[in-house]
Amino acid sequence: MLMPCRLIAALLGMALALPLPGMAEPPATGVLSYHLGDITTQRQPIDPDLADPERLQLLLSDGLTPLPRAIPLLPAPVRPTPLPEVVKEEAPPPSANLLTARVALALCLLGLVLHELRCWPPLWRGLRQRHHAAAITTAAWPELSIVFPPGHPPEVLAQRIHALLHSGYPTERLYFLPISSSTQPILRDDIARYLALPSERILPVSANGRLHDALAMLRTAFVHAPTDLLVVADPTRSLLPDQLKQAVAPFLDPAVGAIQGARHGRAPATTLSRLLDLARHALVAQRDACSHTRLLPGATVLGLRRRAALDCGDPQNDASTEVEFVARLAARGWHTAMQTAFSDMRPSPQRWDEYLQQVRLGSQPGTGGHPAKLPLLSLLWLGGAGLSILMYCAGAPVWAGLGLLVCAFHSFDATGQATSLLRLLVPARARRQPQQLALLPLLPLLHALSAVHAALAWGVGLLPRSSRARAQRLAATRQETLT
Amino acid sequence: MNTLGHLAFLALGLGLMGLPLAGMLRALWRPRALADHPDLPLQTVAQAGIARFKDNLAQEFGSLLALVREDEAIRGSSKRGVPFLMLGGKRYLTEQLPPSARVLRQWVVAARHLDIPGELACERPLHAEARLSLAHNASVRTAHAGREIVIGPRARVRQWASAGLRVEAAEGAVLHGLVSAGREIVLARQVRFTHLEAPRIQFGRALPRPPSSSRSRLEMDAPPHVDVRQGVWHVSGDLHVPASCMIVADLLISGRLVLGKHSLIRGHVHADGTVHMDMDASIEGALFSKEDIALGEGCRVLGPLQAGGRLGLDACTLIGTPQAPTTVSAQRLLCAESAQVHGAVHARYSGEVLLDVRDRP
Repeated sequence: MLMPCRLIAALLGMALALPLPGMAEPPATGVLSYHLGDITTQRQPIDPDLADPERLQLLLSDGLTPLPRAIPLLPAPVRPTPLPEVVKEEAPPPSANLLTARVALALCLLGLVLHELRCWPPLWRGLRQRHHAAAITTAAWPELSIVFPPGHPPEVLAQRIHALLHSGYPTERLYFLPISSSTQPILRDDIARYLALPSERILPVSANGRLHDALAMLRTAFVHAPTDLLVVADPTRSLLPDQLKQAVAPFLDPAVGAIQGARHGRAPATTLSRLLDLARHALVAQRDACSHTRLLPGATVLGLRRRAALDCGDPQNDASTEVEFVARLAARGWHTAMQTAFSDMRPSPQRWDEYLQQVRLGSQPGTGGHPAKLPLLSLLWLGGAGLSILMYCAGAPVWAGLGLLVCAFHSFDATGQATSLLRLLVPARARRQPQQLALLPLLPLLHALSAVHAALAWGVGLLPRSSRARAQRLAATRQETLT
Repeated sequence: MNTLGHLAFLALGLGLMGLPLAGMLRALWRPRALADHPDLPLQTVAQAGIARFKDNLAQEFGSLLALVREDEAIRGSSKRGVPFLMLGGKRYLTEQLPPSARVLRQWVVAARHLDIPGELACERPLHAEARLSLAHNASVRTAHAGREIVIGPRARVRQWASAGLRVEAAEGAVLHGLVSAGREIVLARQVRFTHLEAPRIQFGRALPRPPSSSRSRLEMDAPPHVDVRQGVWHVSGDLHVPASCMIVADLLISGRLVLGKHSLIRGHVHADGTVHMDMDASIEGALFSKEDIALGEGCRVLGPLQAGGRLGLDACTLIGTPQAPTTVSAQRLLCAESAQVHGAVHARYSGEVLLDVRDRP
C-alpha cells in the first residue's frame, strides 16, 4: 500500500519539478512554404504566398490528387518572416554555491545508491539461508531438562509437569528441575505425589539469591541437570500439543548453543509499552530475516546447551548478562535460534539502555548482526532531501526531482539508518510480517526522544530523573531500612 | 516560478519525508495480533485440518455410516448446508454421477472402497473406510482413507491426503501439501511432492544392491586448522575426510565438507558450505547445511537432515531408521530411485523422484 502511494507522490514531484507552461517559450522555427508551378487543372488560382502548408495539403488531397507528376513542388524562396523581438536574457553562469550544492546532492544520492547495491547480496544470501529448524517434526528427540522458575506451589508445578508429559515428547527423556528458595525448599515427594512419575526424574534445586532472568535460572540448575540440553518453562502458560518438540527442534542442529524467546508474554499496560513491543518484534523479524539468526536483541535466553555454555567459560561463576552471554556465544561460533512459542518469562520491560546495548553488540562484526556503521546514511538521506528542496528553489528542478525520487523510496531501519523500502519489504514478505516491519521507523524516533529526554534530565536538569533511577534509589533505601 | 509552485513543492517534500511514518501510523491505528511463530510449518496446519476433518466425519456422518453399509446411496446436506453423498458397500460413484460430470461439489463418504473416475475434479473432501483410488488425471482437494490411497498417473492432490496404512502414487502424480500414511508411502518415478510423512517412504522401485562389506576404518586426527573444544571440532574452512576414515566428534564447519568413500562420522555435523558424501559414506547423527547437500549411492544418515539449498539423494540412500524416524528438509529435493526415508520429508519448494539413470536412453 505504501509503495504505490510513494511512487505516485514521487511521480507527482517529478511532474511538479518540470517547467510549468508559460515559464519558457518554445524556440522559434522557420516558416516553410511552397511555390506551385503551373497548375492548369486548378480552377481558382492559388496565391502561393497566402497558402499555408496545411491548406495546401487539403487542397491537394481534395481536388488535385491526380496531379501530373510533371508539376513540381518547388520550395519557395526563403523569405524571413519577421519574428517578434525577444529580448534574450542571458542565463547567468551558475554560481559556485549552486555547483557545490549539485555536487553535494550527487554525492548524497550516489552514497545511498552504492550502499543499497552493497547491502543486497548479503540480504539475498540471508533470505536463502534461513534457519528452518521449526520444520523438524520427527526426530530422535534428545534428553531434556526442564527448569521451572521459583515462586510456584507444588500443585501448580505438578499440573505443569502433567501437561508436559502429555505433550508428545518421549516421557522417558524428560527431567524436571523446579527451583525454589532455600528458605522454603520444595521436596521431590511434594510434587511426585500428584503424579504417576518416577520421583528420580524430579530434581528440585534450591537457590539462594534472587534470580532475575531465565539465564540465571539456567545457570543455577546447570550443575544438577543430568542432560546436555536445558530449557526454561513458564508454569503459568498453557502448552499446545507438540510445542515442546518445537522448542527443542533447534537444538538438533549442533551449531545452536542457545534458544531465545521474545518478551511479549503479557498484554502491555500502556500505549508506550505496546509500541515498544511492536517495535521490538519488528527488529527481531528484520534481523532474523536479514542475518543468520545469531544474535536476537530484545529476546531472552530460554534454552542452553551445556557444551556451548562451558565453551564460553564457567557458567557457575559467570555474571554476564543475557546480552553479553549471547554475544560471547556468537563470538565463539555458536548460533542462537529464535523460539517464541514455548515460554515468555516476563512482561515487556521498558529498559531501553539494555536494548541499546543489545543493538550495539549486535552491530559488532562477527556476531551476525548489522555491520557497524555511523548514522551516515540517515545524514545522507536528510542531506539529499534538504538539498533537493534547495535546488528547486535555486532553479534546478530536474536535480530536485531526482533527489526527491531517491529519497522517497527510503525509510528507516531499527538502528536509525536510511534503508530502501524494497530492502524492508522483501524480508517482511518472506517473514509474513509486513505490519511489524512498518513500525521500524518508530525505533529511531524513540531513540531520539530518549536522547532528548536524557540530555534534558542530565545536562540541563530541567526534568526529573528517570523513573528507573528513582526506583533503584527507592529499592536501595528500602534495603537499607530492612538491614 | 511562482510562489504557489514553491509552496506546493515544499509541501510535497515535507510529505515525502513524513511518508516513512505513514505505514507506522496505519499499523498502530489498526493493530493486529502478532504472529507467535511465523515459522510454524505448514504441515502443522495440514495436521490440524486432518484432525478437524476426522471430528466432522465422526460428528456428522458417524451414525449415517452405520446405516449406509447395508443400504443404497444417501444424498443430503450436512448441518452447515454442505451437500454430501454416502455410498454403500456395493455402490460405485460412477453410478451416481451424470456421464458428463467433470466437477464434483459434494462430500463423498464411502462405507468401503471409493473409486474416483479419471479427469474428475473433486472440490470437497473424500473419505473411504477402506481403499480410495484416484484414476488418471483426477484432482482431489483432500482425501482420507482408512486403509489405502492409490493415486493414478498424473492425478493431483491439492491440500492433503491421509491413509491409515499406505499411500501409493503412480508416475507423474502431483502431491501438494501433506501426504501421510500409517505404514508406508511409495512414490513412482516423476512424482512431485512437498510434504510426506510415514514410517517408511520409498522413492521409485526398490533396486537390488549388494550389501557393502564391513570395512575397517581408520580414526582420523584433527587437522591443524581445526579447533577442538568440548568435544566439538570447530573447522574454519573446508574439511575433506579421506576414504575409509572415521571421526568421532561433532563438526561445526565454516566451509565445505567432503566425505570420501566408506567414511564415517559418529556425531552431528553443521556445515555452512556444501556437503558432498561419496559412495557408502555414513553419518551417525544430524546433518545440517546452509547450502546444497549431495548424497552418493548407498550413503546413510541417521538424521535429521536439513539443507538450505538443494538436496540430492542418490540410489539406495537411507535416511533414518525404522526405530528412529527422522526429518529431511530442503528447499528443493531430488531423489533417485530406491532412496528411502524413515520419518518426514519436507520440500520447501518442490521435490521430485527422478528417472533411473539406467532407464535413460
